[in-house]
Amino acid sequence: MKMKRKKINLEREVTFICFIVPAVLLYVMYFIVPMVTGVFYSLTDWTGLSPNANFIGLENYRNLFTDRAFRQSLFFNTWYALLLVIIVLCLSTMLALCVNAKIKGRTFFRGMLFFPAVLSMLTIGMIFGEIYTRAIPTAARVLNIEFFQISVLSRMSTAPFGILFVHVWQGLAIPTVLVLAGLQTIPEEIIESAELDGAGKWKRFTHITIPFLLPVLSVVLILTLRAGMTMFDYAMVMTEGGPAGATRSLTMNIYNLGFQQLRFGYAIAQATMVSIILIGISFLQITITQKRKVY
Amino acid sequence: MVQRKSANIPVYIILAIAVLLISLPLYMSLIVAFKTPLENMQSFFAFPNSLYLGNFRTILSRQGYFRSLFNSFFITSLSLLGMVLLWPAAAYAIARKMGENRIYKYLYFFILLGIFIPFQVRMVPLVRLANSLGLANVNGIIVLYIAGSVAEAIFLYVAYIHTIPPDLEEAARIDGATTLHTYVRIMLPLMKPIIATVLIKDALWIWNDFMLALLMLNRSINYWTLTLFQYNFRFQFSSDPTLIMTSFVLAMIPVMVVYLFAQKHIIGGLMSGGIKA
Repeated sequence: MKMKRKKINLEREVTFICFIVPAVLLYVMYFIVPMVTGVFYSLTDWTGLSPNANFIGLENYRNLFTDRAFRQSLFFNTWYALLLVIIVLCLSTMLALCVNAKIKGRTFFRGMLFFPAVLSMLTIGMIFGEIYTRAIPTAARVLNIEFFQISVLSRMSTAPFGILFVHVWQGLAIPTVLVLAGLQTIPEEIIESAELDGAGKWKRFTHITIPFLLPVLSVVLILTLRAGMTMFDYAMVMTEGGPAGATRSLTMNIYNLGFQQLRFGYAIAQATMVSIILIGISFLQITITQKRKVY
Repeated sequence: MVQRKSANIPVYIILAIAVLLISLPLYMSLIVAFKTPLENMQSFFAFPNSLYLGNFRTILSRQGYFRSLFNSFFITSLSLLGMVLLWPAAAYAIARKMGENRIYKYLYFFILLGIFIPFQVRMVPLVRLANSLGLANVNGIIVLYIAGSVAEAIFLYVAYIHTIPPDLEEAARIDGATTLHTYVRIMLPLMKPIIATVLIKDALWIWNDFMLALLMLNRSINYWTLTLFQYNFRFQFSSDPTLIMTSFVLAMIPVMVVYLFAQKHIIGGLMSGGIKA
């Protein structure tokens, strides 16, 4: 009896080990090795081409603080991400409430609202690029609206908003579905009894809907904040970071430094800095949501 | 009843605006694709005079399009296949052994770390590593996509498995079923909803991915995916907006067709697993 049990357990152990070996190998290859070598190279002046690199300590990190291009990107990206978060949170909640209402054609509207999520950011960025640079100026000339006769993307003051609009256009889809899923977890009895108690629409919204949605909204917040801070595709195809670096995102900066200017060590130092910011944000979010669970 | 209906009017207005804003750029790319360059010069917004198919013919006659379409399809489906074969099994092992064995618990948290390491910090060294491992080609990027999905997949799967009581599996084990058999026959069917969620997310990611494709596959026209095809095509034909818009339309068609038929499942699949996680 004891023998048999041991045999079965051994079989279980072996199967489980076989199950996890690919995960461990690929994880180490894709996540750990690049991260560790990355952090190591950020302490050197490696160009990415030369075989040898000199150890220069924290020099790359110190240079970050005096790098105007980095500061410009950080500044642009931070307010870009914050605006994106605010707009997406408000609009996705509004749209989710709309497609959660008992209306005709609900399935159609849900399908339409989610559709942008299945398209590639690249395609959307390029289509809007064409619209901004060709369609709108032509139309503005016909209608004699001076402001839009020059492409929105070619002015430093308006280019970020041009990209932001596209990001909202596409970035709303998934949050809307997530919030919709959140809305459906609210028990109908609660809303009905509040209605009977004479709570108005606004009161029901702030006292029932919002508290129930908070977990979903915090997920949306973190997803959108990250998407905003790491925006790459849109800027790459719509403005290439221009005009005059007004839309050069942090990720574009890293890409340019690493692959065009061949300053690998410095590029990784910058990436590490961005990661620390992102990890900090994620960590903050986790502690906040975990606190909520205690209540 | 009457009051209900009038209360819905603002909802319809908001949704109508949203639908208009969503369809306008798609509509514009469609009408431009059917115009001759001259027609388009005269008016960007006007409806085409006739269904001009020259733009489509020009692009389809270039071999790049079908090659990229095939590559995108090949890469996406094989990556998804690899993910289905590997990650639910790994998550099953971790979820069920976490309580018994500390190593599995540490392993779980170790893999979870991957979610929090942004792609940018690994990007540059990863490209070097992948190059030296000979992964800068179509088969190689499949390995990279599978690897790149591991952390999130394990996280979502383990959370889901924890909601399934282990009674059934134990009963099967007492009946003498092997672990592999138990996993395939009992666990996998129970995990279907979350597997659907994860696969839909990953499919959208891989099919539309630009960054990793740009880093790994932009060296040869034979390696291009649909996103790279559009990206490079735009540089070659930047003077001809009708051709460019046509290339976008052609790139969107496969996704549109899939979405038309699977829309309900895609949205439902994302919603069902999304809540539990």
